[in-house]
Amino acid sequence: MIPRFGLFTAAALVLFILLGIFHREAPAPDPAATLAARLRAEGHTISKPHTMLWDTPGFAFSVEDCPAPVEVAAFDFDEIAGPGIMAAVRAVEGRQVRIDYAGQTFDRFDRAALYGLRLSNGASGLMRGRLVDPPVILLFWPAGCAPKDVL
Amino acid sequence: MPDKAPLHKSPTGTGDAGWTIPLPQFCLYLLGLLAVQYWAGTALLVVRSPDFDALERALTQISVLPVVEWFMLFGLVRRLPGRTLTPSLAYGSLALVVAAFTLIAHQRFAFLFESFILFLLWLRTPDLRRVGVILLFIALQRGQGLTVLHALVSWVDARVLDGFMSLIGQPVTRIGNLILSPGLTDGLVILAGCASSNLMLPMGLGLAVLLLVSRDRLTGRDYGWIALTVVTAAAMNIVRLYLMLGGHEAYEDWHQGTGASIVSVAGLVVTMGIWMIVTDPRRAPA
Repeated sequence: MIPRFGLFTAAALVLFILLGIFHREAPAPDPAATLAARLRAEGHTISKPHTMLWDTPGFAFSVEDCPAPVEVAAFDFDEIAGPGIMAAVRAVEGRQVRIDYAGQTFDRFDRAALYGLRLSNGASGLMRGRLVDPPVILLFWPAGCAPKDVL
Repeated sequence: MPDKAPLHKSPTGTGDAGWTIPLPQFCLYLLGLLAVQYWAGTALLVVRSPDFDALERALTQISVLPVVEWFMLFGLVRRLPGRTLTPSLAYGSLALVVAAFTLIAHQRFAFLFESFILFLLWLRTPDLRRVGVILLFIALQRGQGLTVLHALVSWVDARVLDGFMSLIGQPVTRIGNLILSPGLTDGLVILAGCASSNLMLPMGLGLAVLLLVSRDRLTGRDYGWIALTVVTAAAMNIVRLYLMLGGHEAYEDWHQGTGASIVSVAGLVVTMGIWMIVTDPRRAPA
């Protein structure tokens, strides 16, 4: 005879399996692909980036009055916020960089401000019951072109 | 803490017939449910593999160490004393697991959350406390919420690799976490994925789990062995990073290919080997 606790556990197991069968979660969209699609819809020409930053999703897009495309890399927050990573990015790209995170733009990599924004986003996300961790978008602007708010 | 506990009796004296649960039975059923939750994602990955290549990739993601740990954990609960648990603790624990896997969408995070709460809940119950600690260590090995540690270890790795390369007479240029070498001129950047922490966590926590299965609690000497294992993991990863600097092919191989599997197997051998040395009965103090 199956003990009572065993029956309850079996019921829980059935519930777990049923939840697994009926739970349909949409796969998380690739942030770089989503951004590229949006910029394409706004009339920008999308191309491959000149420099790939270590398998980080990225692309390049045309901007009016710019002699060369602007390159974009979408980094995971924890990855780019780690010590020593931004210095490596600058060494490889060596261009004017603008940071875009959760709808806010920064002229330089301000780690404290980014963490502050992430904290406030997290708190408001918890209140709304929806936690999201957007990527940190790095825009590399070519020489002879003034950075603009394009995102 | 002594490994003794009084039998839990019904405060009314009328008895909880049918509701009190023997400890081994409780652990066996609840851990069975938790094991299904733990391995469900991996099983789905294998089952849903559309082709042989995808199946091969899925299978290489299965680490052997957690398989060993779960197997040994089930072995441990079979040996637990037959004392009974209060219905509130047993059914409360089950209700917590059900609530967590129902309300939290990501089962990996749900498992970590459950393990932490169960660890706290079971802290005052002899024997069950040990199971709770093991469960928490198994959950922590998956590295959720330890990104700060990964970032710090990456930072240290880059500097140690720089020093190591100078020491062996092959100096490299380091800019932040970027290592530029003659073999890999476009550079190797040490992100969280390349960090020693990915080896240190499974090896250190894995050894702790194996030792806790073998004895009631960790001793001062055990902590020393765990520290040695963690240092060995870091040293192994520095050698792996050195090999990755050999060129693009070497990079691919040691980053995710056969080389990476060799490092994982070496980690498993070191962990199991140290566990066998530490638990050797001939080494027991007189």
